[in-house]
Amino acid sequence: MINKILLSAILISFSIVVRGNFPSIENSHLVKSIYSDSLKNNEDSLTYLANTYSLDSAELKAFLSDFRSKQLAIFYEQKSTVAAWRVCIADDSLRTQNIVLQKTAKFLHRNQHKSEYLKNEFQNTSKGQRSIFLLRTWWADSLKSNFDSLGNSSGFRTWGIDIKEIKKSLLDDMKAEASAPQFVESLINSGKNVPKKIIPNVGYALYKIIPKGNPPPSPFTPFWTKIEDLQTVVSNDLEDKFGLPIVSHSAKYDVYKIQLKEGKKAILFESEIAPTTENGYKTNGGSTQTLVLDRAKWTFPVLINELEIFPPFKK
Amino acid sequence: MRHCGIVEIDKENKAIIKEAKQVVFKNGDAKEILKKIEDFRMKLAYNKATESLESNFGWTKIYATLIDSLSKNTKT
Repeated sequence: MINKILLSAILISFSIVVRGNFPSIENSHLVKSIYSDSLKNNEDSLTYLANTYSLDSAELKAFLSDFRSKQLAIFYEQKSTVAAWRVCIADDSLRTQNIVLQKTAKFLHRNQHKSEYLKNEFQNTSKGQRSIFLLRTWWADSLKSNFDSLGNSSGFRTWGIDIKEIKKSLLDDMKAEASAPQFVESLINSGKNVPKKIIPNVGYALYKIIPKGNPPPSPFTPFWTKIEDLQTVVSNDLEDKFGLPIVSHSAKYDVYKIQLKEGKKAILFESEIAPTTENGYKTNGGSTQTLVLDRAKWTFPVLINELEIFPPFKK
Repeated sequence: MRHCGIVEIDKENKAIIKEAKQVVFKNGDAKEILKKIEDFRMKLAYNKATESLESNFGWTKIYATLIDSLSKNTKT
């Protein structure tokens, strides 16, 4: 096909150079014929690709319409490009853009099991927000690839208050409240200042954000936040203010809620979130964390769909 | 079971799960191993760097199944 296009270009140049004119009628017939051949070749290649990726008949129709008259090199330069197109099928504008296909293909190459999730989430995002969704998806994935490729946060560190700055009486209170007093000291450094004691009423609610689609939070995690602290940072560098590990960065977030059970008395410990580092990636912290040291006093975490968080893209 | 790639944690997790399976298999006393499982999960949860490991690597379901089997041992 490329040879035919090249030949056509040579013929046109030759015609202009030799005759000082545009191609003759005979030559323009030849060009049309070559163009029609190249379309046919494109269609054959596209059908081959569609079969390889088992596109259904509706997908095949859209795929041929999108790429019949376009260069197909992108499909051969990078694996998963057809899968990327399929993920973005809901948006006929974005799905034909090379940059969208390339970056989404890169994401799928690294996250093969997330194809269906991404397709559904892309489709469920309003048309005007889909590019933001993709930008945030690529951003979070690129952070993982650069700073936490194993997804285990092994390089993650919090740079909060030193245990020596905590009064013994407060530490004792924390240990008395904790279901695992032997590990309380490992929590101190996640806060920037001395934790403040809070006595919650029955029904008091706390929240936690989890990358959208991930399993619910650990049944023992003490890291929670108040709704007002969450709302303050939603549009304002949420990941930075919460000092999130990279593995917890996401395009969108699910929000889980727990409440103090009836008949239970608890003590909460609030502190400012400390800055963090992770293999060169830094967050500033600054929002407020509420430590729940005995989860047995609190209800099972419930996913609150209407609180889903989709922050803006500001990177 | 998916390994997280942090050697110490993987080693401890593997040992606990192996011991739990042996207790289930031999119908032994489950109290001690149930405590070990809970302590291990607490240790992970009480650290911001490791709190999401059990969810992200799919260990929660494994623990739930084991705890269910072990709890039957403590009741009988």
